[in-house]
Parts: sequence; C-alpha cells; structure tokens
Amino acid sequence: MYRITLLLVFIAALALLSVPTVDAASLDILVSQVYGGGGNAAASFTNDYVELFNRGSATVDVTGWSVQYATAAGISWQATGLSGSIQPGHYYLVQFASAAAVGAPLPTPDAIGTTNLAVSGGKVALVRDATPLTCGAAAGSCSGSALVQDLVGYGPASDFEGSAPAPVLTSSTAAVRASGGCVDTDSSSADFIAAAPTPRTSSSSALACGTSPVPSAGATQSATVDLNLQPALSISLERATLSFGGAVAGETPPLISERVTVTSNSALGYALTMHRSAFQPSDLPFVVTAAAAPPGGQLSPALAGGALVPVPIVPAADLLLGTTTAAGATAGDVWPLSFGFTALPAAPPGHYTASLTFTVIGR
Amino acid sequence: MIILAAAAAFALAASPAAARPPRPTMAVTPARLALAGGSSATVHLASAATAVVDAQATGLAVDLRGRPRVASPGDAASWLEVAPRHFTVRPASGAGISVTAKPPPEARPGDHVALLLLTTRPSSSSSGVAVRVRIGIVVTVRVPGKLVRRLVVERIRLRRRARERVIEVDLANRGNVTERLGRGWIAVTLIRRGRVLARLSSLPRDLLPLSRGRADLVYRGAARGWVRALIELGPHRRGAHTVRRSVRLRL
Repeated sequence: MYRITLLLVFIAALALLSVPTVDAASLDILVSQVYGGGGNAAASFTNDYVELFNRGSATVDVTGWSVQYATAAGISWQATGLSGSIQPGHYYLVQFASAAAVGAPLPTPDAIGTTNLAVSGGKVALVRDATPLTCGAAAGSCSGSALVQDLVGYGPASDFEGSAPAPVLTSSTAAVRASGGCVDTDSSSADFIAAAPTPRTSSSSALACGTSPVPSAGATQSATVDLNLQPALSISLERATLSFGGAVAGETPPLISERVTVTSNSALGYALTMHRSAFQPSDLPFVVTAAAAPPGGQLSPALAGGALVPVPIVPAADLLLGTTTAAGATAGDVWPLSFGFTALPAAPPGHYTASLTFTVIGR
Repeated sequence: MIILAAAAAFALAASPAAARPPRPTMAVTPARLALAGGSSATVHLASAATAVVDAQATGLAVDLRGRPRVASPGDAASWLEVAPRHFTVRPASGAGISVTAKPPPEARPGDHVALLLLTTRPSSSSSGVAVRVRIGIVVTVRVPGKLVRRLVVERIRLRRRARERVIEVDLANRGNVTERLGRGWIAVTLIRRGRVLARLSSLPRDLLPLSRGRADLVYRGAARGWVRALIELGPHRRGAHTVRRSVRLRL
C-alpha cells in the first residue's frame, strides 16, 4: 500500500512538473504596438497607447487581465485593467496618458488608462492578472513569470524577451510587431521594428495570420505583395553658408558654387525657386547663374545662356530656378548654381550678411 | 529608392566637415495631402542635421503653365491646424507634423488648396550668406457637397519660337474639383487634306478649380501653311468623356 501511495504521489508530481510553463510563442494574445510619444513635441498622436492582437483562431476573454508598464530601469509597475474579449485576427487598443494636445487623436480605444509611457525606452507587459508585477530588474526576469502573457522591452529596457530590446522610439515612431502582429519569436528585438504608429482597435479590419503548410511536390503557392509608395520630396544643399571673403568696391568677387539636389518621385515633378533677404548694413547686388538644368529639368528662361540674374529680395516674388514635369532621377536632380556679385558698389566698409532661401514645391 | 537616395544624401551631408555647419537637407513624405473636412494627416520630416523648423500654412498660386509658388494665405490655409508649428528635428528621430482640416460650415463644396510650408532656420554662422531650405506640401481640402467637373478648351493659337511652332491650348477648369490631366490628356492632331501630319500631346499637370491653364505643344515638323487642328481633351480611354474641338491653324 505504501508503495502504491508513493507511486501515486510520484505520478502526481510528474503531472505537476509537466504543466506547461508560459511559452509566449504558443499563446494567442500579444502586444502588437507600443507608442510612448503621445502629445510630445512633433508627436503623431495625442496619447500614448498599447495595441494588442489576437493572432489565434479563437476568441479570448481578457477580462481581469492588465497591461502593465514600468520605466526602462524600474521594477515598479502600473497596471491598467482590461475587459471584454478579442476576436481572432482583431486588435484591442489601450489608450494611455497625453502630454499635450499635439498630434492626431487616437481612434476610439477599447480600454483607457492613465499611465504615462516614456517616449524612448520602457517595459510593457500583458499580464493575465491585475496585480502589479515586481520583476524586471534583469533580462528574462518577467518573461519567466507564468502570468506574463507577453513582454516588450524597448529602448534601454532592463528586461525584454530574447537577447535584446526593441529599438529606441521617438515621438513619431512606435514599436510595431512585424506582419501586422503575426510574428512572435519571443524576441523583442527580432519581433519589433520602429515604425510610424498606426493604432488599430477592435473595430479595425481583421487580419488572419497565415499558416505555413508544407508545400506538396509540384504545388504552387502565391502570395499577395502590397506596398503604398508615398510621394516624397527632399532638398539638399552643397553649403550652409556662402562666404566670399574680403573684397573692395568696384571688384567682382569670384562666383561660389551651390549645387542644389532635389529628389522627387512625383509624376508631375516640382518647381524650385529662391529669394533672399537684403544685405545688412546695406544691400549689395547679389546674383545667381545656372550652368544647366539636370536631365529632365527645364531651366527658367531668365537663367538661359548663363545669364547673371539678380536674386529677388523678400517680399518680392521668388525667382523661378527651374521645373521638372516627371519623377526625377533616383539619386536626385542636381541644379548646378553659382552665386556672386556684380561690381561691388562704393559701400561703407564692414561685414555684410544676408540669408538665402531655396524652396521646392511638388507640382 | 527615393528614401535610399535621400538617405545617401543625408549620409553625405552628415559626414564630418571640420567646423563647417552641416549642409541643410530636408525630406518629407508625403509630398501632397488630400484631406476631407475634419480629417487629419501626419507629414513625416527627416533632416540630416539637427535643425529648427517652422511649419506654416499659407496660400498656393499656380501659373498658367502649372508652376506652383508660395502665395499669401487664402481661405483654405486658415482652415488648417498645424502642430507643432515650431520644433527641432534631429537626424535620428525625424519629426511628425499633424495637419487637420477644419473648413467652416459655410465653405463652398469642392476642392480648396493650400500650402504647408516647412522652413529650416538658417545656421547661426555670422559669416557670409546663410542658406536655408523650404519644402512646400500641397494640401487639398475637399468640402463635401455637390462636386462639379467642367473642363473646357478656351482658345487655341499658334506661336512661332525660332524654328519651332508652338500650339498653345488654353484651358479653363470651371468645376469645383482639381483636375489631374495625365500625360497625353491634351492631344492635338494636325491634319491636311485628310492626312495626319503630326499628333502632339501634353505633359501631365493639375488644374485647380476655377482656374485657367495653358499647354504648350511643340511642332518640329517641316510642314507650313494651313492645317486643321483637332484638339482632344480627356483620358482617351474607351467610354471616357472626351472634349473635342477643331480649328484651322496656319503653321
């Protein structure tokens, strides 16, 4: 009898030992985005938020669960309780604090908390309980807890899943889980990228995470590839200042080159213009000349033939330098300009300064 | 590719350059915004160097040939809420500028255009001519209501330019929505005694509501004298509405 009892105790102990520990990769509800820049200068949104995602095939009731936050080095967690359920393939948005009314408002959230997430670094845990955690001092300390459903460390966080935290974030970037929230390898650094925040709620479109069946011999599989290429426009100058050194009245200082590079993928092209302020303490005859237009560009008729053209002073209308009527070269369109003076007038000696403004507008 | 090119430009701009101030470099995406009343969007800005930037909504003027320029603020500019208006952009983080359109209830239906102007402040260097850059982002605000599309050919005439003959086609957008005239939307076929001498087509452009535009179509052929010019205005797709007009021209 004693032996049978001992055997039963041994089997029970084995059964207890074989209760699965939390394996985040095998669970269905995950943190899919973390944004801590809400309402800061240049923020994309007014509020911080954490987005959850159900990547499984069954509805999960999250009533009694919490989203918890601790600072990058801290172990003091603030918990925000959740309620309701998340349908398969659906998201769940938890709105947090706002620094100011800067940025766009969030879509109507599914839960609201008052926690203030740090912009660049911190720890966010999804916990199947509302009791604040006490872990987080070192890497791996929270993800070993059976109640921690998911953990994301971003920036200089002391705890995270895997070997490194997710990237440092800014007011205009969120930690975004790859593939719409489907990827989970138990690694904050591998699963998340810093990208533009795109908060989704339970009302957003559902996303079915694809399974990866083993293809049979001879079978073909197709994948949908989707990309929204945004119109982009950039301008880059050769120099931040044009310094002509010393000169005397009646002299014409040598021209200084200022190459302006404009990159645009607009099918309509762009217009490049310029103006300047008056020289102080008194104005000087400042001129521009252009060697040629870049391929595909049209130089302003005023600059044709290498003419030296006075640069207008605000509030006069800008001088049109040139235009394009199609998308530019990949490396950018280079407008080779040169600046200088016509014969300097008999002005009082002194240090003369002005500012020059280049403007590019997409057509 | 654009982003790669911009990144390469940034890398060049950010390279150590002794004590020289960094080269002004700024990139934005998207370069155009279309907003419905009450909606908002974010423009992302990147800079190769830390820079103080001013964001301002102002007016947009477009000349006959579709060249845009900064103008004094009009109605649509006053409807835009831009935040933040002044900020510091750093190379590592970039910045986001929120633009919200709030047209008043009495605003007339259709498209209204403004310009979001992002301007770097010149470096504090006291020597020489300080240089700064501005990028203008065209913002179209669409006020709901009856949308009218009415594009008409007003005039066709021939102008001689050196050895070229330029056929000028004057258009008017009498509707209340911006018309995007794709490449080849304005086509002129030159015909003499039933034989086609040339078929000329235009470059793409936008024509703002209640505005006029001019398309220059260059004829470099050798024919001279009277011809019939058939002007077709439209996307030249089966089933699409096309405006046609025929005139006599002397090449």
